[in-house]
Amino acid sequence: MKNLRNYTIVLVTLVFFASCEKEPAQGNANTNSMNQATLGEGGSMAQFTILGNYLYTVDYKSLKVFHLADPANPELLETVNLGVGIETIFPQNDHLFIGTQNGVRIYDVTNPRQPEQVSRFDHVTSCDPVVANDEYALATLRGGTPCNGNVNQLDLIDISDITNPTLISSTELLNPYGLGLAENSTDLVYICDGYAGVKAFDISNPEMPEQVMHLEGLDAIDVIPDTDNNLIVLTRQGVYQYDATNPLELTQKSVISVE
Amino acid sequence: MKNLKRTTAVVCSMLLLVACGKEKKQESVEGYKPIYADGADLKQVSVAAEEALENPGRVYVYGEYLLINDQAKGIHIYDNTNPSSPVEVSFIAIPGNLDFSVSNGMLYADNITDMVVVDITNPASPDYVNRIEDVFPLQQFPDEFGAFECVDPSKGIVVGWEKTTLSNPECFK
Repeated sequence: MKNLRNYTIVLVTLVFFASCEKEPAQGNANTNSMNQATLGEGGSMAQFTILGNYLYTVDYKSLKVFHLADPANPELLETVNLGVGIETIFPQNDHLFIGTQNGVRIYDVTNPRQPEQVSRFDHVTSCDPVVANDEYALATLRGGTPCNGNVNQLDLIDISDITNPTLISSTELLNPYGLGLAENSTDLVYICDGYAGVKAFDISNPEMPEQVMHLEGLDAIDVIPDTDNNLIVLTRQGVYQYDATNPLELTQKSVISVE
Repeated sequence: MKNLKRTTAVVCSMLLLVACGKEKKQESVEGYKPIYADGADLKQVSVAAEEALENPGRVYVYGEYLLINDQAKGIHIYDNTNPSSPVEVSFIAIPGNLDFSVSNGMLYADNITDMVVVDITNPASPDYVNRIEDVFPLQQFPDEFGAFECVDPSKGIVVGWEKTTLSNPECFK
């Protein structure tokens, strides 16, 4: 009986690994739906992300691919030079969305070892994380000092044709950093608007996103809409968690304060 | 009268321009200053039970755990089973660390120009596993636009940037 149990465990483990091998690009690090226990979820400002057995990193000038087949020995497979001003990386299905200081670049990782650029969406020079779902990419643009020209906005980009991203709308913001699509609604995006705090926008009419919530008093940098309506917000004052059951009215659960 | 108005306008514009030019030189401005690695062993990865959060840079959810990068210092791990009271279970000190990701109990993090691998299968007792050397470039300027404190190589390696108030900054991006 004990032996049978052992065999079952081995068998189950084997099946698990086999299924992992088959779908290298399926473990989307930014969805909560699967692999909750094995794969994590980062924010939109992240420069590291894992898809299946591959770790992708961006630094200020390149995209790197590491193979994690031997988890203790990541192997650098590929360095893709991207110029300068590379900032963030966000995985969505078989694509990587790379936020840069002059636009969004979309890479196909159907072959996970060799990311291939499928398109790019250019904008004025600014700092810009990007997130995406199947229909839209959302990028925030944060300008610098007033002397450098000051564009601060949310760009909503149609990516239904991934080879031809098209701007649908630009919504004015004050000092935007990270953003996150709500876990429980396809029509809601949370935006960290720097010193202006956290905002939520209803994007059911993508041509005219509507601000539906504004939480002031925080220097908000990044956000993770987690499962169970838990909203995690990273600020310069600390890391806050909110009950977002009603996204129009967040209730603070806790804060890990900066000391 | 019309002339007077015009003269006033011209003088005002000149004053404005002068003021703007001077602002850069004489007034305090918001900007970024380098975080230097302090010459200690930059490849030393160590584990503590807890550590004060100073300068959070990234958040990351891993199962019931919340991980927070403390810019250029390392990674805090909190048991977040109850988000109303997260409890720190360990802190992994990684000099220069700014980002990381986790898969199957392994944490992959930058350590200046290296990548380190830390086993967090037991988040309360992280275990250093491996180091891949020289895979990341050094960045000697901030991500943000605007003024920054010029890098002084004699102070060590720049491992990050923090927001601050600068007086008379000489470097701009």
